[in-house]
This record gives sequence, C-alpha cells and structure tokens, in this order.
Amino acid sequence: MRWRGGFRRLARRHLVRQRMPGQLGLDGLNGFVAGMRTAFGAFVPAYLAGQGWTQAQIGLVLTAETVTSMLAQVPGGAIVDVTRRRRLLLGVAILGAAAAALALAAFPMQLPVLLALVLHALTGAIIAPGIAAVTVAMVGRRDLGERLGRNVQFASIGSGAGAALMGLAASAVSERAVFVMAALLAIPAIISLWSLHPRPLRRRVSAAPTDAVEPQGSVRALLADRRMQVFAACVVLFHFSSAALLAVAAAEITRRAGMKAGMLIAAFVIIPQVLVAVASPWVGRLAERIGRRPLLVVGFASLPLRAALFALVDDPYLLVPVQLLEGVAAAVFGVMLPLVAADLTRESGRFTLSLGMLGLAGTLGAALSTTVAGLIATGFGVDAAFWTLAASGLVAVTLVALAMPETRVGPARDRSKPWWRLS
Amino acid sequence: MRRRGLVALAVLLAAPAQAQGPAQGPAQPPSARLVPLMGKRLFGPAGEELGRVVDIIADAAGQPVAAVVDVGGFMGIGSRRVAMAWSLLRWKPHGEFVRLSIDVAPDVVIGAPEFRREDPATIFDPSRPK
Repeated sequence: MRWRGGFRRLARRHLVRQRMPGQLGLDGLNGFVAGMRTAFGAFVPAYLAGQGWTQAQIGLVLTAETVTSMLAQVPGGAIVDVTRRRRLLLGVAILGAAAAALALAAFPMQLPVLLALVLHALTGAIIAPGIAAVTVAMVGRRDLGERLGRNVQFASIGSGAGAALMGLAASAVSERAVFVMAALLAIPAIISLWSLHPRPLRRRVSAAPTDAVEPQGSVRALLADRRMQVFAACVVLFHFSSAALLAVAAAEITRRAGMKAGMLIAAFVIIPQVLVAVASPWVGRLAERIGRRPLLVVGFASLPLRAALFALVDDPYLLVPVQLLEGVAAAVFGVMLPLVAADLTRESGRFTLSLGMLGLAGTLGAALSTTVAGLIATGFGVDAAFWTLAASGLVAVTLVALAMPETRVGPARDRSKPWWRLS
Repeated sequence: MRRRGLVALAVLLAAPAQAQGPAQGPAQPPSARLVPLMGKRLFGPAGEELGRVVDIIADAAGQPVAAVVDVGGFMGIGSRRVAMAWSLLRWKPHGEFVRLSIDVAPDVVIGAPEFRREDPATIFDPSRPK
C-alpha cells in the first residue's frame, strides 16, 4: 500500500510538471544541441592532429574560433532579441552547426576547417541565447527557474552521453565519424524544436505593460544598470577562477600518475557533470523559493574552496570528491546566469542581448584564466597557480556577497514544502 | 653530354641493387615504406597507445634528434608534450604499415619532463649519462 501511495505521488508530481507546455521538446532541444557541441569542443584537436596537422596550424584555427565566438556573442544576442521568428532563426543556426560538422568531416584542410569552425562559433552565439529566448517564451517568467534548471539538466545529460558515444565512435570507427554523428544530431534537435507550439514562441518576452514592439529599453540603460555591471564582473571572475583549474590540475596529475591519470581525469570530468544533471532542476526551484542571492553566494564560495583544496591536497585520489564542488558551481552558475539575466531585463526585454554581454564576459574571463594560470604554473609552479585562482575566487564571492542584490521579483513560490523537498 | 651519360649509367647500376631489398621480404606496396610522422601514434612496450607525434626536432645539420609526442590525459585534458630521443624509437612492420613504439615503461614516459625547445636537456633519453 505504501508503495502504491508513493507511486501515485511520484506520478502526480511528474504529471503536474508536464502541464508546463513544451517540456519534452525543450528537453530534447537542450540535450541534442549539447551533444552536437561536444563534438566541436573535445574532438577537433585530436582529429586534426590525426590528419597530420602541426600544432601551430591547429592552434591557429582554434584561436580563430575563439575570437569569432567572443566577437559574435553580443551581436548574436541582439539578433535573437529583435526577431520574433525565434524558431526559424534557431533552426537555421542548428543547421549551420550541422553543416560545419559535415565540412570538418569531409574537408580536413586548412581553409575549410577554418571556415567550419568560424561558422560553428557564429551559430553558437545564436543557439545559446536562442534556446534561452524560446524557453522564456514557452514557460513565461513564473516557472522560469525550474525550467532553466531542467534545460541545464538535459544539456548536461546530452553532452555527457554525446561525449561517451562519440568517444566510442572515435576509437571504433574513426575520429571523422564523430562529426558525422554531430551532424546527424541536428535532425532530432530540429524535430524537438518544431514540436514546440509556434504561437507562444512569437510572444513578447518583456514584462512591460505596453504592446510596443520589443525590445524597448535602451542598450545604454542596460549597460548603465548597476546590477548588470556587478553581475558581469562576477561572471568574468567566475570563469577566471574556474576555467583553468582542471587543465592545470590534470597536467600535474598526468605527470605524477602516468597511465592511471587518464581514468582519474575522466572521473574529474564526469563527477561534476553527473551532479549538474541531477541537481540543476532542484537549484532552479530553490531559486524561485529562497531567491537568487543565497544560491549565488554558495556557488561562488565553492570556487576558492576548490582551488585551495587543489593546492593543499597532494593525493590525486582524494581530489576526486573535491570535484563535487565544481558540480555545485556549474549547476548554480548554469541556472543562475540566464535566470538573473531574465530578472534584470524584465522591463526592457533586452534579455538575450544581456545574455550575449554576459557570454562575452564569460569567454573573456575563461581566456584570461588559461593564459594567466598557464604562465604562473610554468613560472612559479602549479601550487602558485592554484592559489592565484583561489584568490580570484575569493574576490568573486566577496563581490557577490557585498554588491550583488537579490534580483527575484514577486513573492517566493512553493512555500508549502520545506526547501530540501523541492525535488 | 658526357656527364649525363655517367648519371644514366649510375642509375642503371643502382637500380638492380635497390630492387633486391623488397624482393627478399614479403611483397609490399612502395608507399608502405614511407612513413608520414605527423599525427602518427606511438605505442608502449605492451602495445598500449601513448599518444601522437606532434613535431619532429632536428639538429642544425638536419639530422632528426627527437619526436615530440603528446602523451597521457583524457580527451585532450591533461596531456603533456614529451620529446622522445630519436634513438629510442622502434620501427616495426605492422601489416602493411610501420608501427612506431618505444621500449620504456609508459609511466616513465608520461612522467618525463615536458619538452621546451630552448632546453635540449628536456629531450627524454634514459640512455644519456646524467
């Protein structure tokens, strides 16, 4: 009897949640697109090295991709803001990414690869804000926290499953097969996208009372918003203190643990991924309940803690559970970035433009992080690099705690249950 | 005219000598005897894959000194560049290809100092006197 009651409760909980429109479509969209992007992130350098490319050539095309991605963030967000044909735009961007993957597989020569990676960077600058805009249009502001949590959950599942399957394909067939797989993933991604009801997708996403065509707030007002400035600084610091940590640690572990390091580093990558996949929806619901600020403080506080533990703990096996902290930071940050951006642009409707600006801030922080931490690690040793990252994480959490205001608008939701039972 | 005749003669004399090599072993297509090195996999003594060749280092006279190999890590995270001294490399026929391997324990190779081009001492060579 107890089981049946439990089952009924479980079923009700999930069916109630299914009332939110377009859940399945958004789940699939996030998962399949994340799987596609995994191919570009992890497999391009190995593929090109296997094709006999020199390191200088590989570095050149990857730098071109990064620079394009940086330059495209703000224009990408602005384009998504001004169109209401969000589905069409997003579909074209996904097809563009698929074309880039096919070009990589078919023509591993300098110019085609350069063009394919630049195309991928351009589509990425549309896809990320595009999915966020579609999400807001589908579920509205009220349920946004929960739905953004689920977006992050499915993106994490998609990239994890994608990496596993593509890794298998790379070793069993060829590294070229990875990019064919990525291109094929565009088909279910676009089916998911087209399964979304078209009408809500064209809605205005700003909460302003007028019927004026959005976006209506000026860009200057967005840039002058103090909350936006503080949050952008937090985003730069977040990536600065976290982006290089794993790379620096992994190189050190490889030096000390040899062949076993491969498994250790795999655990380092997978553990946060699993935690993000499990905890993100809960983070989203919690953000609607207790507000953004406490979660941001906890997520940012994990940064200096993790970097300090990496500096203090010598045994790489003991560092495996420390990677749970990366999962905490990634789950909080993945949900809070679009959620706070949506909070800050409630009136102006410049939601995806603000996402583009924050995306630019993030890529800048990450690029600085790998450069600076790499230089410090070679010049002064890895512990000095870890302490530098820990110090910047400390600055980040201090900034969040002292200067970042609560951005949630309206009353707390879901007061009926204690906060730990929000899942 | 006379020089050209000498060259032709030399080619004629050299040709049979060259033809003897492959005739003794199993028949191989000529392309299999040229080994492109960029991106080639390097294997350990037990056949475990160590990494890919990413660069070839030569001395001022053009003689190869070392092959730089990207070793270790997981999906490109945490890999290191180690320069294997040219004398360490073993070239073994493997089907119609040539397999590149090294008779040093993988953990020793992966833990070797990272190669820096301004420091010849970073070339990994266990046989070199310290």
